Amino acid sequence: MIWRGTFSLFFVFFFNFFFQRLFIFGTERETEHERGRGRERGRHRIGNRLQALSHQPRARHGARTHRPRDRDLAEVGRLTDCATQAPHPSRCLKRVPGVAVLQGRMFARGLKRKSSEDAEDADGGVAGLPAAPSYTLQRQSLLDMSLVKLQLCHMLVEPNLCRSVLIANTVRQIQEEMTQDGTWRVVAPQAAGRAPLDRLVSTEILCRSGREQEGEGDCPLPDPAPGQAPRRPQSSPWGLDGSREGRGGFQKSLDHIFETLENKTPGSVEELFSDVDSSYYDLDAVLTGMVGGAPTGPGLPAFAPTAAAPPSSTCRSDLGELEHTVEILVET
Amino acid sequence: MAGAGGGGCPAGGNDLQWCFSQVKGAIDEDVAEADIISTVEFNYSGDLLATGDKGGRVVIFQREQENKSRPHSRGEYNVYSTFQSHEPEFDYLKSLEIEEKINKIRWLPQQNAAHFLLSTNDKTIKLWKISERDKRAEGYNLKDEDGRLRDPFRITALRVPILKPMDLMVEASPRRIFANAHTYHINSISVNSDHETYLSADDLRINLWHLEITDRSFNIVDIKPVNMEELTEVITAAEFHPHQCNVFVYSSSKGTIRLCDMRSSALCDRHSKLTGPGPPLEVSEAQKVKARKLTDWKVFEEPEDPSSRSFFSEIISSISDVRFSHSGRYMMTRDYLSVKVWDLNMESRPVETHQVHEYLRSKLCSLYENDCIFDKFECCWGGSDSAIMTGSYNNFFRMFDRNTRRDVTLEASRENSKPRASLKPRKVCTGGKRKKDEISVDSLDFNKKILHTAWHPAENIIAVAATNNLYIFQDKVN
Repeated sequence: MIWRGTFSLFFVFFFNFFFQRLFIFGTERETEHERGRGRERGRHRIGNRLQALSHQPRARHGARTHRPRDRDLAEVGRLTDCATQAPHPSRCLKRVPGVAVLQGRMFARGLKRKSSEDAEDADGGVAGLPAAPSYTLQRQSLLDMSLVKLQLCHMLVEPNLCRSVLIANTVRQIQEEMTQDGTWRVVAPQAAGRAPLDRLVSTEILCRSGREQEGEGDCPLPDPAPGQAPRRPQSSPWGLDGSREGRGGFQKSLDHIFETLENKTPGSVEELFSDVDSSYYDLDAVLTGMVGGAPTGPGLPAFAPTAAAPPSSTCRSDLGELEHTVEILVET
Repeated sequence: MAGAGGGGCPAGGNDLQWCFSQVKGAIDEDVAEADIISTVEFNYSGDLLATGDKGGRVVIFQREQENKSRPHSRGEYNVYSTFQSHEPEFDYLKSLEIEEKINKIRWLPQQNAAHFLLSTNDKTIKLWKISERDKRAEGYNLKDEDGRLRDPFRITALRVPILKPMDLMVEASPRRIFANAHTYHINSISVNSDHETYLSADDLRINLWHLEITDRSFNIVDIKPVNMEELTEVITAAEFHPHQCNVFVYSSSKGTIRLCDMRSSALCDRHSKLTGPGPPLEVSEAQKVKARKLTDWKVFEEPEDPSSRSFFSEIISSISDVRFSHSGRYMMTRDYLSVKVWDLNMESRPVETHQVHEYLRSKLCSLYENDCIFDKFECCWGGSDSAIMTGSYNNFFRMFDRNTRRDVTLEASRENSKPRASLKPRKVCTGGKRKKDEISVDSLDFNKKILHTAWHPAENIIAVAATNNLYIFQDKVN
C-alpha cells in the first residue's frame, strides 16, 4: 500500500511538470465518468513507464562521467522531425533520472497522436490542410516544448542562464502573438470538459497567475496544479469561451522563473509551485494523505512537487522521504 | 619556418590547401565526458597549443623544432605538460555544483623563460606558470643526496653545490587564483594589450582584473536588471582590442555587439548610442539599467530582415563568439547560422556575412527540440586576417577566404588521417538529387560538433577540437 502510494506520488510529481500531452490528467477529469477513463489510461501508462524506468541506471551523484545536467552524447544523433519524434529516452534519463524518460515518451506519444489526427509535421504544413491551423499547431507545439524546457531548467543543478533567457523570450514572443490573435485564453471551468485532448494544457503558471493578477474567480480550479488539464484552447473548433487573459500573469510567472534561477535555494524553487492544489493528485484513493517534499540535493534535480499537505512547511522535512522513494523506484 | 606570413599569397594563388597533420586523443567510440575538449588556444608565438577539457585538465602541446633531415615536414606538436587546473566544487549556499570544465584558456605574452596562461571554469580564474626544469643542484651541505638532513654539527667542510643536467621536467604551478567575483557563469576571459590587466565576463557582468591582484576586481559592465524578472538579454562573449588597451567589445544574446572605451567612464553599459553627451537618462525599457555616467559607445547591430522572421530569429541571432582581427580594424561575430565581419567604424551592418550552414534554417524546430540550437560555436582569424574559420556539425568546419570570396567545407575525421593527406572538400546536399560524395542534411550527425577551433598566429596551422579528439591541419607546403 505504501509502496503504491509512494510510487504513485513519484509519478504524480513528475507528471505535473510535463503538462504537455498529459492524458492522465486530461480533461476527462472534469467529470466523474471522464475521470475514470483518464485514470485507466494513466495506469496503463504508468505501468509502461515504470518498466522503462526500472531498466535504466540512476545517474550517480557527483559522477564525473555522467552529469545529469549535460546533454548526453548518445542523445543527439540524427536530426529528427519535430512532430514525429521524441528526444531519445536515454538522454532524458541521464539528465533527470526517471523523470524525463516520461517526458520523452509522453512527448512522442502526444505528438504521434497529434500527428495521426492531423498528419502534420512541425516544419511545414501539410498539403491539403489550410495554412492557419497548421501554423497554430506549430506554434502551440513550440510553446509546449519551450515551457517544458523552462521547467527542466529549474530542475537542473546549474541552469544555463543564456539558454533560459532565450527560451523565455521565445515563449513571450509566442504569447504576445497569441494575445494579438486573441487565441490566448483561459477556459472557464464549465466549458473545459470539451477542450481537446491534445491541446497544450494551460500551465499552472497561466492559471495561477491569471487568478492572482486579475482577481477573477473563473480559473478552473481554486488552486490549479501544474500540468493539469487543458484549459486554454487555441483556435479550437470547440469554440471555448473563456476570455480571460493570463498574459500578465504569465509574464509574472516567467519572471518568477528567473527569480528562482537567480536565487537557487531549495526553498525558492518550491515557492514556484507552492500553491499547487492537493486535490489534483487524487489519481486514485491511495494517493490521499501523501506528503510532498522538494529534493534539491545535487544528485537529484530540484523539481519541486507539492502535494496534499500545504507545501513549504513540510517540504524540507520530506526531502529525505522523497529521495528515498526515488531511490526505490529507480533502482528496481 | 617561423614568420612564413600565414595566409600569404604564394605566386600561384590564394587558395589554401589543407592537409592532415596530427590527431590527438582516444580512438574509441565510447567517449568519456571528462575528455571532451572545451577550449583550444595557441600562444602568442604558436609554439604552444593548450587545450582544456570538461574534466578540468589542461594539456599543452609544444611544437618540435624543425628536423633538418626532413625539411618538408613542419614541426609536430607533442605533449609538453598536463595538469589539473580546476576541480569540481560545491557551492553550499546555493546547493549547486560548480563544474570543473575549462571554459576558456588565454595565454599571456612570454616575458621570461616561463609560460603563463589563464584558465577559467564557471566561477574561478587561475593564472598558471608553466616552467621547465632541466638542471638540478647537487652537493648540498645540509642535505644528503637522498634528501636526508645532515646533522649540522657533523659538517666539517663546506662545498658549493653544482648544477647538473637532468631530464626535462615541465612543472605547472598556480600563481594566482581569482575567485569569488562572479555570480553567474564565466564565458570569456581576455588579456589586455598592456599585459597587466585582463577582463572576465559572465552572463551579466564584466570585471577587470590586475594580474597581480587577486582580492579585487573592477566591475566595468553590469547589465543585470534591477528586477531579475525583466531579464531578457545576457552577455555571451567579450574581448579586449588587440592594440588599444582601453577598448573592449562584448556581445549579447540578442545579437548586438557593444564596443566600449574605458576612458570615458568607469562603467560602460550605457544603452543607446543615439544619446549623445548629456545628463544620465533613465532607461525605461524592459531591462532597466541603473543610471550611469556617460560613455562613448558603439552598438553594432544588423537590422533584422522582416521576411525571414520566425520564432527562432532571436535565438539564432544570439552571438556565440566575438573576435577582433589581428589588425584591430575588424571584428568577427558568430551567430548560429553565419559569421559576420564588422568594420569597427561602421555600426549599421556587417561588411561581410558568410553562411556557415544555411541548410539548417529549415530544421530550426528540430534543432530547438534537441537543444542544438543553443550550441556555441567559436570562430577564428587566420594570421593575416585574409581567412576565417568556424565549426559546424558532423565534424565539418568551414573556411572562408575573404579575398577570393571562396569558402570550403572540410571534415575532421579519422578516415582522412593519413599524414599529409589533403583534405577533400565536403558538400552538404540540401534536397533533390544527392550526388556522389555529398551528404544529405538528414544524415548529418549532430553529436559531432566542432565548437572550438584555433589558428596559429603566424602560420597556416589550425587546431580543431572534435569532441575528445584534437586535429591539427597544415597548409600544404607549396
